[in-house]
Amino acid sequence: MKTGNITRRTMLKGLGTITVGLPFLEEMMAATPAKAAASAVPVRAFNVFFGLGIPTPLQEEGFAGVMEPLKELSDKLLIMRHVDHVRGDQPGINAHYDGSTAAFTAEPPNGTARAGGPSIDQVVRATHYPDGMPSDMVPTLVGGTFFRRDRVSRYTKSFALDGTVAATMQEEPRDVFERVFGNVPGTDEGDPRRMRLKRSILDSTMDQYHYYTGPNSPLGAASRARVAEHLDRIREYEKRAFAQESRKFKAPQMPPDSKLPHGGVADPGGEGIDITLEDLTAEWRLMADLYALAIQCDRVRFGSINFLAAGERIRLKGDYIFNGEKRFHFDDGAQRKSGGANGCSHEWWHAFNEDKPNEQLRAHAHMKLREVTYFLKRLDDPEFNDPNGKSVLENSMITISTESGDGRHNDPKRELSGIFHAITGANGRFKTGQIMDVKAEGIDVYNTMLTAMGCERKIGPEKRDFSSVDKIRA
Amino acid sequence: MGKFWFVRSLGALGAIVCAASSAAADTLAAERFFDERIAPILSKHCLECHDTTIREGKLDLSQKHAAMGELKRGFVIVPGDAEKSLLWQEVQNDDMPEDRPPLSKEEKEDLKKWINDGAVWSADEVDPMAHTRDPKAASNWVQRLTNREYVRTIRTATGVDIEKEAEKLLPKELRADGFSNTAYNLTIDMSHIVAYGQLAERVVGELDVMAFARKHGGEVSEERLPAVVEGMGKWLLRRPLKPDEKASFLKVAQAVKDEQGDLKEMVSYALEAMLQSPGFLYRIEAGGGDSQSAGPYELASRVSYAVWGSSPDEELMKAADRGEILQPEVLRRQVERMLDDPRAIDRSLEFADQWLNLGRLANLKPDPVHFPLWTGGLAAEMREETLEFFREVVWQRKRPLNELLNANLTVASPRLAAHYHLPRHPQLKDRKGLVALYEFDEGSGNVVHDRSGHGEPMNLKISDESKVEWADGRLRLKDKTLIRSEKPFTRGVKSLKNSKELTLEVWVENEDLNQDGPARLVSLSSGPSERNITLGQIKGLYEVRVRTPQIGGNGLPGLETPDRIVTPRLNHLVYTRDREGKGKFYLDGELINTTSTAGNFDNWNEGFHLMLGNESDGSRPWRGTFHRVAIYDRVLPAEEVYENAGGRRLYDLAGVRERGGLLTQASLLTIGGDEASMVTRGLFVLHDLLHSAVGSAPPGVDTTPQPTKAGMSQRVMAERRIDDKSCSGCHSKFEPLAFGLERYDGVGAYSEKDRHGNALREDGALRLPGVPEALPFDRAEQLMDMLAGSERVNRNFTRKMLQFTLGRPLLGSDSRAIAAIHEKSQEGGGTYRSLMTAIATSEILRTIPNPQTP
Repeated sequence: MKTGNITRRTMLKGLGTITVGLPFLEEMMAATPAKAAASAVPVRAFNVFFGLGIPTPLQEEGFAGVMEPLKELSDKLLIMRHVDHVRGDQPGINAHYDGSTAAFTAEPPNGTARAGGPSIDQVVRATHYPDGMPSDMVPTLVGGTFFRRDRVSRYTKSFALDGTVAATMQEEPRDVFERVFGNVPGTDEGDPRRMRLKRSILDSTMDQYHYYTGPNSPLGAASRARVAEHLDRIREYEKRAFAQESRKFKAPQMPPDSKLPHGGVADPGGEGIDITLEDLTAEWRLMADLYALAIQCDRVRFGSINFLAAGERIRLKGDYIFNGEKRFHFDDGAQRKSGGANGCSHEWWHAFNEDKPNEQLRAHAHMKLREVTYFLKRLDDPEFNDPNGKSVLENSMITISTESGDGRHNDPKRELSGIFHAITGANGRFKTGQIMDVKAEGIDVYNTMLTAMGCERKIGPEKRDFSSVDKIRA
Repeated sequence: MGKFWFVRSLGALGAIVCAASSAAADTLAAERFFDERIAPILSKHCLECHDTTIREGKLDLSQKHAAMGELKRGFVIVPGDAEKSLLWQEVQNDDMPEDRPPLSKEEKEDLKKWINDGAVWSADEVDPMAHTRDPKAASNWVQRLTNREYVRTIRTATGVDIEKEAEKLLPKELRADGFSNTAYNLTIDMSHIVAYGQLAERVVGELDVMAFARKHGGEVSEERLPAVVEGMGKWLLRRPLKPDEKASFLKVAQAVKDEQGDLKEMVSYALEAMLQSPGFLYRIEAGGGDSQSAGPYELASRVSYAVWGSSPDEELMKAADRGEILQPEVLRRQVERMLDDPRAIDRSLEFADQWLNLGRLANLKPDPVHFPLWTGGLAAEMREETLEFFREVVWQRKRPLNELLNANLTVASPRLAAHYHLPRHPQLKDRKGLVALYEFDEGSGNVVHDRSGHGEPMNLKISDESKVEWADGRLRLKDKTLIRSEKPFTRGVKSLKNSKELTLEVWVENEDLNQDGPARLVSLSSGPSERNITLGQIKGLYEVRVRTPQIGGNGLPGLETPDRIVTPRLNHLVYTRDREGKGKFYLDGELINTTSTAGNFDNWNEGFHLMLGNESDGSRPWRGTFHRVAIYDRVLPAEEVYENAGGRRLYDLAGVRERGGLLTQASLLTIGGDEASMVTRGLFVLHDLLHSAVGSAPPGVDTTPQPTKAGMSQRVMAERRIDDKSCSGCHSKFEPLAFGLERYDGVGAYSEKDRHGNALREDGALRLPGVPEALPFDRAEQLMDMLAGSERVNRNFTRKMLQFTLGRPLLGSDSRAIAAIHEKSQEGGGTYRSLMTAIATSEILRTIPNPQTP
């Protein structure tokens, strides 16, 4: 699958005809600067996750090593080394699916499908939008290109205040398109009467959901939050279906059906799948384009996107080209002389040895950061600069997280140490342009970030003295 | 005096009752403290080394009786005196846990308090699976109807079947903590909102709205609309409407009226609104305040979703209307009645499917190099086997649930039966069209008789009797020979020419997977290059060559099957060719290849002889055993082929020692992955059958199933891990549980040697959690019997079923409820019926927890 970038220009130029929700088009049609004059820079927070991580010794190489792709954005990033997930590091915790949950939550998971607490983006959201997001926005967008899926926490990286997933995973570009831009079906545009009657059903339903989220609700906090979530979705539906008329409009073509496996077949019993680099990156980049466009059009302010799952198992094939230069030829199955799980790139992480070249791992990690950079660059597009003249990338709090895939045992009580972290400046709140040896616990880094974002709530286990990591603040 | 005495006595009695009640409350509080504070500490910090299996320092803190025992240095726990308790002495100075993070200050305070307060245990055993779980995991989440519950509820409430549409529109649910109905993970997406709207419209569109309204709301008129809405709403929302809800639905009807809609339309739109309301989509209970007894409608709904996974029927609603359902005896009778309904079976199969995670079979793709016969169809049949087995044991035979572990029966498709080497016998559903039939039932001699009854028998003669072996219903060709018709097959060829259709059906066991030529199984020919039809073997595949006027006498190109499908097992092969020239090849009842060739049989030579096991010149010998050969002058339809292959049927496994019970079924054996990992199989047994837990592997440990090689079987690798001190703490608890399964490969086929020639074992010693002594076994079937006889396994059924019913993970604080349900279920025979009755009538189902309780 080959796709080009989707830009505002191509969006408006229009290649096909599709029904697109008018609120979105309104946003798109309005000149961003004009809108900018009247509004402040919105608070946004996103997490970008990539699977399997960067072994600590390779982080020490800075941009000369596998972090090379991040170099072109280095002045807009704070790369943090020596950040430990001590709070997620408990007996019996598995680095891949449990440890990765600690990234930007600072807690081990609480069940196979949820974290021990909220992720940092959702705390920011709850602080700045205590009454919920505007109903014409997608409250939280979770998307990603990934395959391993036996545990939800492997691939979902945005968690609500109660630790449950903050939004349903949209795992195909088409899903993201429909979730963000597509018009909702179920309204009959040719029959105003019918639309009015459908609206009355929606009003009735909303009244009842209101009751269950209100002060007289018989429900407990957890249940009220769930029903409130349902109400939010209905409001969003209402906005898209009824608030403004939808029209057939020239817009980009609906993304093609994905060529890659999704759903259960993407993870055949943990044995991994064969995939080409071209197919993998083509789908990811389309996903990244759409996700970035959703942010740039201010349809989304919070969420997460991930490139490959924690503990991902793929057997990748193809030439790896970086800046026009062939860097490596991926052929995991042949290079590992094995099929099934043992032939997957995952095993390069297990085989990591600081004293050896680790060529395959290096190439995979480099490629992952190339793709993460691709997404970040989309957010750095000056065409979508915020009112303050800075890019979305510069103004948003974007966290880049990963996992400990190689199992460093530098301290038997700290298996999850030295995890790669990076953040953006969040509109001048954090230092950028450096690689910093933070030497702190993730929980303190995250809570320092929350303080800087104006959040009183802290994440991580309660009843613990907070130790601010001021050196990351601008 | 009398009155005074009475009053004084009453006062004393009151004091006694109060004291007793206060003591009971104290005990309850102490037990709760143990469940919520102490058991998690023991689970998290101590049991890795000090449980029944490891017992480091001869200390077992997982069992009450052992923890209260005496070591050489003194008592581990001295109730009422922490300072004298070895446990406290070791913990307070961080001497324990060794090489692990110490207890926090709070944890230490709790432990000390507990001992000083008398060291009350809530149960005899600490359950690490439940006690390490954060109580928030079981918060009182409102339950959204799962997709299946939604479909069933619509069906029960309206009679409309929307299964296919719902499957298409509703996002799929994901597993969380072992089940897909875990309430905390039943999140809501935009696509749900869209789907519920579309499905509601669809239901109302298919419904006879006015009849529905009359049935549930009485006479339908505009004046009576409030009553009609009330009646329909109560039925759909499973309880009487609240005034606000009623008003809300009436507003919808009014909106229709304002738009000049008629009565039917008013009712229709109100119905659509009801089907999207929270009262319909969620199982909302009144709650409020402290924990309280469920009201009649709440109880009806709880029981109904527990037993059927659907809404209450009219009878249950009537029992709720009258409040009778709150009477234990009425409730029990209702549950008994509901368990006689097919919906209860459906619900139980859903439980089995989720508990055993059978859905993952659809996604498996074992390495085709090692497992060439794997197909999605076979995977589906494996899933079907387990569900049908469950149905047979639980519902048909009404056996106790523990017999699922060792019941000597199964229900298998022909292909799965072949996969398992189950004893199969050729079937013949319809003799119509037979032109030749050889059943090999002669037992001796050099003639194979044609039993088709079609004209003059076309008997076959064995050229060298010394090269064959007769047995009951089969003939083995142990060496090169030829079996040839005494006369040309003229009669048969004429019939085939006339009908222009053909079926060739063969039951064979292959003896040489490398024979080629093609090696002739069946041939109607005059020599190696001149034939009417030939079925041959080319090493790992079969080929059928058929002469037609367009193709010519050699019959090439023929129909080739996929490679590596030839096995030494008994296989049922069928080739059919219809008038249009479409050829189909079936293996064990399943279509595996098709081809299309031009022409008919007009140029078939009527002078050719029919041959088995060789070509007429002796140049294409085949070795193996024939069980049946049949030729028809018609095309057998797929269903008949499937039936002739044996169909899906019940097998008595009394004489099949390697099969019997869930753990010998391929659906579960595939859990080990391609390499049949003892780690993953052992963990499955530990987690899902024995309800115990060990932590996940530490970060960085390579958890990839390791490939076997010569001298390194799975058993050898497992024993090395167990011998390794750094691994044995956990691995010794679960890998031995899979020792009895080593002879089953990654897809569940049985073999005594692996592909490297390593001898595979099935002996071992079963270490059940909580049982100090290991129980030795020599054979897999003994392991199955031990598991079936284990109280631990038995109790696990109770836990799993209760979790599934409640839609949340169980906690330590549920232990009393589990014990009570289990005891009641065992009194009733330990069957599914007795267990579900115990659950549906249990205190935990009759009580609505305080919504504020975490």
